[in-house]
Amino acid sequence: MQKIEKIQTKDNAIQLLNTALEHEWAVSFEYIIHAYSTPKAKLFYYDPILKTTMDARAQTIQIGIDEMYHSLQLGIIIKQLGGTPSFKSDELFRFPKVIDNFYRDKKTEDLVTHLYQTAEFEDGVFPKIQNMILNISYDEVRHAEQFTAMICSMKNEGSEDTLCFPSYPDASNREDVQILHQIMRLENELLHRYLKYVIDFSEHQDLCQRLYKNSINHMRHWDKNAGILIKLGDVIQIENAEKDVNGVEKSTNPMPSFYPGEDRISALETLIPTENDLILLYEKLIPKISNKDITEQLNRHLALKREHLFTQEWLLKNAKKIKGLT
Amino acid sequence: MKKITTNLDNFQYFYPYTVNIVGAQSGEQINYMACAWHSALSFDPPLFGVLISKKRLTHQIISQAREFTVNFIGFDQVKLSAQMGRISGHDKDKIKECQVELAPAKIIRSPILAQAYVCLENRLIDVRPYGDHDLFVGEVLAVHEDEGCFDLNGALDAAKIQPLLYLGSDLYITIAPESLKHVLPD
Repeated sequence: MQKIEKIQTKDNAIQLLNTALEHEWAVSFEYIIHAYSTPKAKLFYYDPILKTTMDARAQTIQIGIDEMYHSLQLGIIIKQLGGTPSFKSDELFRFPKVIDNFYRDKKTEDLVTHLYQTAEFEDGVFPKIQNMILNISYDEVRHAEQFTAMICSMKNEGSEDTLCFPSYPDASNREDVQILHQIMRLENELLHRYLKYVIDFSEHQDLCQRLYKNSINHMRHWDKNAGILIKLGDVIQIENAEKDVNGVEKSTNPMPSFYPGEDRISALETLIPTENDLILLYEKLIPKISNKDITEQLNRHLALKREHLFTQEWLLKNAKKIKGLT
Repeated sequence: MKKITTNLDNFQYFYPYTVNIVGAQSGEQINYMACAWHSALSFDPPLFGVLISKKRLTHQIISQAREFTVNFIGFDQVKLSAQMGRISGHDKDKIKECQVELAPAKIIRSPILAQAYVCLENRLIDVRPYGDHDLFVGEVLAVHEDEGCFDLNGALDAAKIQPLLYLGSDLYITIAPESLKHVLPD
């Protein structure tokens, strides 16, 4: 992570904010992958901030969502400053043991807190950005304390050897599992793609809120599907990951670094075929699943995708009717 | 005097174009096809686009896989290009039928073609409809190249590689290395 310590000019500020955005964007994804790989309702810890006992998996998801909100705050400010938000992602890791993922997450939090807190703003320059950065940094301090508590609790309770959910040994031969992985990948891509457009169109509050709603829907379905994958005997995959001899997975390309569509029309256009591809995948998957509860859940997802498609098509048609809309 | 026509059946015959073999793997299904309509689209980020008819099986497989490889083959592979262009994956397993030698990619799951002198690994980032074809845009994640196929300046070494060029109407051609010129604007 590149350090930008002196913030004097707009370019310095954009550089700092983009370094932070790339980081927040990547870790929000990494934490959620770690959470979805962690056994549910098995690892509890006493949270020093919330003053109550929490499920480590659930709280890790919550921290991942905090990082998404940070990404949004950073991206919107970058746009307001006239910069171009960067969505390049760092390397992503998944360790076989849950505790090693939490160690990495804690280290990540410390690293970004240092980035934020060592940035020196010249007096009176960008006070609102300085305030935003400080506020975010104390969310990161909280996250670090929460991850530390999770690690300590696992050690104290002798559960430090708890393993992540293993991947299905014969996953490539199970068509239902393969299609669900494809769906998961698209849900994640769309969740992030919509978020990118929320940043792009943040000055237009009603469009921005519509896009945000769809992003959240994709996030919810990504979450539900992660649970369905576990029921089918598999675990969320990391895109383009390589596994070493110790079972550590690493991907240098876990997510797209570029999202097409720079203006309103081209952004809306690019979402329609992707929503369509997702619908086709759900339609292909549902007849292959025999468990009634799962098919009902998947049917609810499919129905909402159709709503997205209907809405997106009309957003595009309506945008095309208006001259001078960019 | 130029001939002017409004019959646009062959408007696209400003060939030759290099031919590549483009495709992907989705689950157990693998399909590749010959493609002459393609282009690099951006340096940063590195983007590459291929145009594929909606009717092609490759269209369906890339849409599902969300990734694809682009494989440039030499003139010695002309038969392979003809087969991959004319046989439909809906009817036959082209990989078996045409004895395509696949090799693992470095980053993505879809394989590359071992016979190719240059292969691009792409993550699908956009699909746009243009008439009867869709433009598939990939973010290039890795490039494989045969040793020595490019010179020190990064240009294709015409003495070593005879790229396969398509002229339309099932006609193929390659370059004449003796025609090579290094030309500066002044």
